[in-house]
This record gives sequence, C-alpha cells and structure tokens, in this order.
Amino acid sequence: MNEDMKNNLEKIIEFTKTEGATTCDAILNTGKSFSLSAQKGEIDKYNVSGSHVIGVRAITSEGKIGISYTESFDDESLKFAAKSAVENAKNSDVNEFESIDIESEDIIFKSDFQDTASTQDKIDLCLKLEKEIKDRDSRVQAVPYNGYSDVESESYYMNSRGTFAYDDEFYTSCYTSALLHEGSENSMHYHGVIGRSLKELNVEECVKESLEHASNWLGAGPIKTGHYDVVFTTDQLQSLFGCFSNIFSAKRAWEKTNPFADKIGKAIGQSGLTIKDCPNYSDAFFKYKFDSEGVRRSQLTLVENGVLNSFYHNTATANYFKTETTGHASRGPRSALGVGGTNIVISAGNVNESKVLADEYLEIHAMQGLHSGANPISGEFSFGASGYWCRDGKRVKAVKGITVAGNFHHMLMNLNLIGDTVKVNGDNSFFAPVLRFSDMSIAGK
Amino acid sequence: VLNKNTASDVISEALALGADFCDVYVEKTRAQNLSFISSKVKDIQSGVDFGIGVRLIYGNKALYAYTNSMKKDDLINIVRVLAEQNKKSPEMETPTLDFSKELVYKDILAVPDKEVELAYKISKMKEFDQMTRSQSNLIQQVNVAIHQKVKEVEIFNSEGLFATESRPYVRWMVSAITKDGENQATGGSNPGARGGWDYIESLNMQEISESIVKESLTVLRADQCPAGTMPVVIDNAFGGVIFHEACGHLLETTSVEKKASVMWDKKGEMIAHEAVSAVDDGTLNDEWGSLSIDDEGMPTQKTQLIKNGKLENFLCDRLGSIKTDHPRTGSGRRESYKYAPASRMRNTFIEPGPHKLEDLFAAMGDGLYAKSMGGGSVNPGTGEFNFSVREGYMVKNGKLQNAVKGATLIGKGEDILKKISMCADNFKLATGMCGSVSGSVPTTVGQGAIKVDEILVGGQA
Repeated sequence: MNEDMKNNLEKIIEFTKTEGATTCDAILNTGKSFSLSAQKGEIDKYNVSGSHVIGVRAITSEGKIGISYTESFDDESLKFAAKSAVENAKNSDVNEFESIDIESEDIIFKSDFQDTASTQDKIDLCLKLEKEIKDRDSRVQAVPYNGYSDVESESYYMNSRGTFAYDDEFYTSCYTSALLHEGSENSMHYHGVIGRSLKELNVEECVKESLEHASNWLGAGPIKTGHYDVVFTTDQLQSLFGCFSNIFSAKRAWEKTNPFADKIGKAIGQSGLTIKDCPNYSDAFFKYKFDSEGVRRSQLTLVENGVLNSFYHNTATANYFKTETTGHASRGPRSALGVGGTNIVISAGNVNESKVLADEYLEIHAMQGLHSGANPISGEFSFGASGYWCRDGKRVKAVKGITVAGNFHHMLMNLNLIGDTVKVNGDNSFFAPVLRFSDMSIAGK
Repeated sequence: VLNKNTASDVISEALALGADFCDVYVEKTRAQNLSFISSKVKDIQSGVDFGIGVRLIYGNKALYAYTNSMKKDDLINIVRVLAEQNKKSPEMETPTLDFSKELVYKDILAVPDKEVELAYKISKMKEFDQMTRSQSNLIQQVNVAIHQKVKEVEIFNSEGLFATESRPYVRWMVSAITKDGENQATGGSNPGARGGWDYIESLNMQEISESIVKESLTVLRADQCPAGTMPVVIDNAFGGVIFHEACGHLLETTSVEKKASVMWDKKGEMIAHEAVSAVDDGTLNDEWGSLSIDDEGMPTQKTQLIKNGKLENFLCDRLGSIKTDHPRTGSGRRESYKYAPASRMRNTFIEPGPHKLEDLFAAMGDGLYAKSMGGGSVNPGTGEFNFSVREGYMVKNGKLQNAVKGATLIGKGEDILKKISMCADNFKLATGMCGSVSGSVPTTVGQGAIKVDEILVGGQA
C-alpha cells in the first residue's frame, strides 16, 4: 500500500468538502502491466504500462449527486476534480435514496503474489507457445494471437465518514491461437489461461486446446435446422448468464429494465435450480473482500430451488426497496454507483452426469455475437455457434456455421436436467454442473 | 502540453539506444457524460484523462509503454526499460529534433465545439423524455444520455514530425422501452458526430423520438423470425455493419500482416460481386469516424477498398506498412494513450448503387428485410461473422409482411461479398463504436440498401 495514494484520497475528500459537499467518497485505482506477443519466432510487441486514476462522488445537503475524476494527482487537478463533482451535483436532480453512510474499521487486504519471473523467462514462454503450435501440426498457417501478460493493481476506497479499504492483486496470463489451413478451408481456435505466477501458467493446456478445436472444426459444417437438446460448456454457460445478468440487478429493477423486477419470492427457474454469488468462494481465482461503498462482502443466495431470493443491492437500491445492502455496490473512479456480481456458483443437482449426457445432444463450445444478439429485456437471444454433436457423453462430430436461439427466461423455467457434479470455467469465476436444455432452436443447413 | 525539449530528449534517447523509429503520443481528454432516466437526471460525470504513450520500433518489433507522468526523467526511464532487450549502437548519427514546425493539414472539423450550460443540456433531455413518453401508454422507460468529450492530441516522432489536433465528439443516445403484459422491447438511436453541441441542435428530435417508439412497438408485437437460408435485403445506415464485419476487419493490416485474414493475399483479385464498390474515408467533414490526422500524425485519406468487386487497397498503419510493404493510409488509430496504434477503420461504407429499395424487394421475391441492424463481430482468420437484426420484416412476392424479431445473420465474409448482387441509392451513414486490438474507436458504417442473395438466418427453427 502506497501512503502517497492514501494521502491523495484524504486530500480530495477534504477539497470536496471545502467545495460544499456534505458527504463524499473517492475511489483510487493504480495499475501496472507488462505484456508480450510473439510472431514468426520473434517478439513483435512488448508493452509496459503504469497508470492511476482517482474518482470522487459528492453529495450536497439537498441530496444531489455529482461525479468527477482525474488522472493527474497534483493539488490543482485534485481541487478541479473536487470542484467539478460539486458543480455536477448542483445541476443534478435530488436523489433521496443515495447516501454515503458506511462507517467501518479499515479493511485492508494485501496479497502475497508478486512478479518473480525474469523478462527473459516471459519472452521464452511467449516464443515457446508459438513454436509448440507450429511444430505440432503442419497445417498451421499462422499463430495470430500469441502472448503473455502480467498485471499488478491496487484499489483504494475512502469516504468522508472515515471508512478506508484497500486491496491489491497480481496475476499472470498467456494465450495462443492456432489458425489451420487445408484446401480452401481455414479454422482457428484461441485459448488462454490465468495464474498467480509465470510457473503456474499451463502452457500445455493452451497449446492443446487451441490445436484440438481448430483441427476438429477444419472441414466441419452445420447440422440440419431443427430443435435439439443442448448443453453448454461451463465457459459458454457463463457467457450466456452474463448476457442476462440484469435479472439480478436491483438497479435495473429500479430503472424498470429488469424483467424480473416483481419476481422476488416467485419461481423463475426449474425447482432444482439454486444460484449463489460467492465473493470469497474457496476455489475462485479472484476474491472480492469489499464493495465500492466499503461494505464487507459475503455470500448471497440469488435463486433457491427455482425461486428468486434476492437482487444485488447497494445502499441506494436497498433504501429504495426498503431492504439491506447485500454488499454488491459497483463503481469505478469514472462511473456512477451501480451493482454487480462476483463469483457465481450454481449448486449441483441430483441427476447423475451420465444421465444428463445420455443419448444425443449438441454441445455448444463457442458462441459469437453475444454483445449484439441478446435482448436482456425480453430474454431472447440468437448467437452464431460451433460445437460438437455428442452421443452418451462422447463427441462424435464437430459442428460449425450454426446459430443457437432461444429465450433465456424460458430456458431457466424449462431446464431439463441438472447434473450432480460442479465444474469450473477457465478463469475460476463460474461454477456449475452440466445443465441440459431441451428443444433449442438451431439453424444450420 | 508536453514540453518540446522533453519530447526531443525522449526520442533522442530512443535513437541513441538503436531504435529505428520512436514516437510520443500525448493525450488530454476532457469528458462530460449526462444520463437521464425515469424522467430524472440520473448521473452527471466529468473528468480529465491525461497520459503519454511512447513507442519504439526495432525492425518489425514494436515496443510500447504509457504513463500518466510528463516528467522528462520518467519518460526517459520508460525508453530505457523498453529498449533493455533490444538496444544496440545506432546506425546513424542522432538527428537534431527541435519540433519548431507544426504539421499543417486540412481540418475536417466544420462544427466547432461550443460551451453550453449544463442546465440547458438537461432541459433538452427532459424535453425529449416528455416528447417520447407522450407517444404511447405502453412506454415503460425512456433513457436519454449525452456523451461529450474533447480529445487534445500531440504527436512527436523521430522523423521530426510534430502534429496536434483537437477532436471534439458528441453523441446523443436514446432508447424507449415498451411493455405489454410479460413482453418488453426496446427501440434506440445513437446519432453522433466529430463536433460539438451544434450537432445536437441540428438533430430532428421529433423524428428520432417517433422512430425509437415505432421500433420498440414493432418489436414488441413481432413474431419470432423463422430460421433458415434465405435472401435478405439489408437497409441503409447501420445496415452497413455487414460490410464492416464481413470485410472491413479483414482488410486491416493488423490481421493481414499475420496472415490472420482470409484476404491477406487477395489484392487485385475479385473478392466481391461486381455491384460492390467500397470505401474507407477519414476525411468526411464532421463524421463520427473522421480524423484530420491519424494517431501516428499522418493526414487521413479516402481509401478505395473495393472497386466493382476488385480488392484495391488495405487499411495500413506504420507498423503494418513495415511488415507488408503496403502504403500507409492514415489509418493508425487507438482508443487512448493506453494503446499502441493499429490499422483501423474510419468511415467505411459500400458506395450507393443505381436501384430503388423497392427494386430489391421485387428481385428478392420471398425473404427477410432487415430494416434495422444491431452490432456484430468477425473472426478475421476464418472470415466467419455474425450480426443481429433489431427490426425485421418477412417479404413475400416482393411485398412486406409481418414484423419479426430474434434474427441473427451469420456467414463467411468471402462468400457473402460475392452474394451482394444489388445496391440501392438510399445511401446513409450511421455511428458505432468498434472494438479491436487498439481499443474502442468511433467508426461510421453505411450503405444504400443491399440485396444479399443467400445468407443463413438464425431464429426459430
């Protein structure tokens, strides 16, 4: 923890109060990163960065809120940001629900993770990734995305009531991609892994996954248009849930853009479906100790046995809905107060996984167009997809050039089978058993 | 912003350490964002981003670093860290760089930034909210947002270039959500420009308000789109996203240089139907994707990408040119100082054709009319793209039928380009944000309506 940064927070809080704010809080983030990429046996990109930003939220005596930020930390810039926040507040409408009330002991978490690898080790890893891809398959035309990075970050929070929170992170990652060419066909697959040190990175997994799927999908084609049973890999399931995360947002419910706004206590899913948000889940890669209002985080049951139990709340949404904050305030230095989730855990069901994967079904392994093909209001989606036609848990044919369409809200209710074994996604943030959905619309040939 | 002597010393240090080229990109951006929801001001945010990016090129290798500091010692230290693995004796004597002459170029800005009181901006948002809510009792929510920023950039390089540009951006982002029973639907519009508040004043608010309500109500009552392969007419404006995804990204040297584009070796070949001519033009006055100079300090240009179906040019930045030998096109762009520049699109469009929209329906017979498009994405290595239809209609015997929702169009760029057989004359541009290796940048797409003879439509099987 850098005391200079803490001093900057203290300064901007004081400046903002001097400008006329009744209460205020500030978030300060710092980041350092290092990244490399390799092409044709040489390092072609080498990036080093260091940056910081501080954002202040001011609330006036009338209950008006304004936000401002700056990347310059000299006194003049901090004063200007403080003044801007208060000016912005004066022009805002009264928000009787948003306040800065949290008073707590300091919350400080310092991680033990640190960069011990040399630059040469990182270069060697990057070059090895590309070489391994090229050496293992003569059809490799290029390895277009191939690199290593490490990131070190710090998050500071302080409010005018004396609450202070701090945590830091360090992690490494590497990725590669195999672009295969045969006849007139191209096929590419990208795979990345994450770790706490360079040594933790599973290079073999990266290479194997990239080559395996690129090779399988070379020459693959669509299946016939129709209705099929579908399962998603854990990563794709996370992507699908991510498109519709507004169903858990109290802020969206407040703004009338959460279609489940009036469904607390009502069934929204199959009776075996239980979903929890677990900030400090033991198997998760990232832990989330406090939220953006300085509230300590704890586990939250979102859905229990198919019934919607709670939304994500910050103190403002909690005031509006006359409940307690769940510690899910989300705010960056540049943004307004919102809500957001952490690690998602879907509980195991009671159906043996071999039964969930019995007979024939389509396994969705990659989806495209998630940012544009989903309607979070209606729950409808239509994505480009590729995957495998499977029988009794075995992949029997690669499939690509299809679309998968449906309604996420209906899928939760009509979920066919929930497996008995919880699996984890690639970055250890989403945990779920295999879920089998019936009668999904697939467009192909 | 940055002292010229500091810039000179930093670049000289890079050259002394054997770099073939060095540039320094300085950015100061003042931003203001307003949002209005539930008929109240929701958020008012403002702030200043400031940072400096330093790039060294050794042969084909780009080394990049950024910082929030403009102290000479910090910047020189960055150069030394970057050069650590590559430093060598310089091949030539380090030139003297005084940066006394600033690059002169043609400014694309016709509508300058103008200061307007915050209270006035809020009154415009309130007015729009009321105008929109008054149109239907099925309206559940209206969102209005204004994004404004002025990005000041300075670029210095080891060839003695010193260029600056002030880039004001303004965007009016609105949406209307309608609800009927359990059904909800959205209609939206996001016009924007390289300019200031006068652009907002030039918009026809009544027309925008009516169009987003109409779109929302249409989708609310629409049937599910049937799935299958069929002909599709894609209308103008944001319909141009099909070319952006299916072809534009494949012509950026960022992909071409790595052979990660199916088009990398197709220059001079027929890659599209002869009805297709396409352009990427950074020089259009006030357009959202326009730049007077790119982020490497090169004046932008109009680049003919495809002429009557033949691939004429790629979009090329400095590093892309070094790696591919294609000429630079003023296409080096980045979201901010946090990214090294890369070849990116600016205002990219299919040029208008001779036909009327009705001619396209008549020629199609039965199929899908995609009136309004959402976003999309592409895998340049395979050319596989996808994009979504926001507002669509089935067409039978050349006549519009029922509205449909939930459609996605997928295909391969090289196949689809050959199936665009007719282009209409109702040319129009639309704004968007494009994400790629150098971050998210403002881009414009556009076209007159086009007829695609056959494409896979994802929907209800």
